[in-house]
Amino acid sequence: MEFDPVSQKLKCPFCDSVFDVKDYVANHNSNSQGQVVEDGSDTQQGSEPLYVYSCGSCGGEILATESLGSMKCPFCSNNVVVKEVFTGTFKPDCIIPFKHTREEAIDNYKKHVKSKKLVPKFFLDQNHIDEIKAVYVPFWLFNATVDYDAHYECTKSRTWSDSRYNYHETKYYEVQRTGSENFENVPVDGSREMPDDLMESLEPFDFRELVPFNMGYLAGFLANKYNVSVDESKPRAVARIKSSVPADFRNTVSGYSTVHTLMEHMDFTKESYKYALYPVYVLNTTWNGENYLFAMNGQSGKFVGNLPFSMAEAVKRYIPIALILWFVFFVIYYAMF
Amino acid sequence: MDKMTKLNRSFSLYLSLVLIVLCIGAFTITSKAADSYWDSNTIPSTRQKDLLYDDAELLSASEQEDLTKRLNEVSNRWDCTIAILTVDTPINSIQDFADDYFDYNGMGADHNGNGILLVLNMDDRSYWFSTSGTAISAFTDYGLSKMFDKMSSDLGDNYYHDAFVTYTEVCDDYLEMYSKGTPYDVGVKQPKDVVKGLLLSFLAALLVALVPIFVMASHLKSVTAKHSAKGYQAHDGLHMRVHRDTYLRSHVTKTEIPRDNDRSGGFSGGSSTHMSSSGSTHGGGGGHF
Repeated sequence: MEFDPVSQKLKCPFCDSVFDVKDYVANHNSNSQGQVVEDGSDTQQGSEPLYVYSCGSCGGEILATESLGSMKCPFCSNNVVVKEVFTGTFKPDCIIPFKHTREEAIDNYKKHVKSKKLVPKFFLDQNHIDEIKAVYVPFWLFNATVDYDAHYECTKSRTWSDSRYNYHETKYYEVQRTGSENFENVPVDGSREMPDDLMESLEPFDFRELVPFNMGYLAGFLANKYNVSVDESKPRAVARIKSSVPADFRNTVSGYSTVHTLMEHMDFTKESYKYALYPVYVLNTTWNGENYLFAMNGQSGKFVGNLPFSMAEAVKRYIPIALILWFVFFVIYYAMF
Repeated sequence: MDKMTKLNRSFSLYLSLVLIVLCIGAFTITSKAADSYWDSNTIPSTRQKDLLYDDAELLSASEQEDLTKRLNEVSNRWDCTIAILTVDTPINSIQDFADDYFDYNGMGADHNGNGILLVLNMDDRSYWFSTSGTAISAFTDYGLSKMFDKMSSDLGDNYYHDAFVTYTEVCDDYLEMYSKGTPYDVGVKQPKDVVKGLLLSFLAALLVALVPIFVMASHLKSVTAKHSAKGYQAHDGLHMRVHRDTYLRSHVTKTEIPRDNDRSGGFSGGSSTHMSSSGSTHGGGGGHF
């Protein structure tokens, strides 16, 4: 049984029969009716064990609903060592299911690399591309209401002249804006193994497609368990909101030549958070002793990842460009002087 | 009291008279009148002065010897007198002075009236090129201005020997180009310019070619942290409770419009000529250094 991103349903790879995710849960739950499950979660089935794979090298913990055999760690390419039955609680609030298939991910990676001219040829090598993994990455989604109050000093300028003088008039205004702004689902990644800037580069994730969590979505995919707590993640969300609010209010001050903020005050009220899983395709590669991590947004298809600079490729292009420019500049010089 | 003031008055009168006489004397000793640089206002049949006359004493003896040798060489090679005069005296019109010096000292006599004279006046740091005969056509207005450009930094730094060496070399180049039928002018290129052009365009190409490389390299980076929460604002937007713009005061400044002096520049080619006091035609150009 695997969750199929194209149909957004659970599909049996052998008989092509298709199940709605909600039905899948209901069927299994009937088996465990009456049985008190120790962790009290009704999304975790007793008959469907959850496995956790731990990487001895980077410490990453990957959860899977099936027993996958030996597997490479998606974050650092080292072989994953320990496999155990997962006994803890795994209870995300919501999830954005995968919308792009693995083939699309491979295609996007190839497109991403091909379009960059200065990349070493190594990155187009097929055997690395096969190691793309589909992982649900844990995110903390924050909601907040921010009260904001600001005072600005603004000017309007006007110049005109007559036959003898230039005139310059400046009008001064005192401007105030007070109000509040609401923010929803500001994401902060809760996985230590996934670099924050890489995850932020994958944004936006359309949170309107968030659905309540159901174990069925995990079938055939890996999930990363969170290891950064809410309290550790909150400051990042606060910082991002704090930089948006003054800008948004400042945009309501218009029609002036200059605007200068005299005083501003921000207050956070009504904060809440959710634990969500976002779909990400992950590929990592080692080249020249350095590890390169690439990611694709499993919902939108956006592909990001820093590629290394190849001096050989750069020189190959620099020489013909320089020669052509030399010819062009000389012709211009000769024609002008 | 009366006797004292009478004595004081005659004494101070006598003193000021002496001072005036001394000043006039000092003045006449330190500067010569312009027309003491030639014997009479007639054109002699032979050259009366050396090719290099350093009256302002800017050069050492060995520098003068070296320059005189060069001036002789170039003059004889192209049948055109190349001469230099330095003075330090107030002159009304350096153009007239240069033309007259050339004519009344027969500077062109050795070479059928062909010659170019460079005059440097340290009194007001002015210069003038005066041309005569074939030199009028060989040294175009544009060419003279370019020649001065090549000398200007040395003149500004008081490296007079270097500046004068440049003068002899450029005169040599210009006369060579004139002998080939193409005097240096607007639109005519010296062979040296081509080499300079190749070098400049090479350096420029090296620099500019880096730009596309850097652009391509910047495409390699696609990972950037997001610093704002843009996109996560709720759909109901900002709830503004106070939205107040209050006018405080205004302030007007006025400045007078400055008057601009028109400066005409640009060369259209050829050599401009004028008639000097002796009746001969001269070309040339000058300015300040």
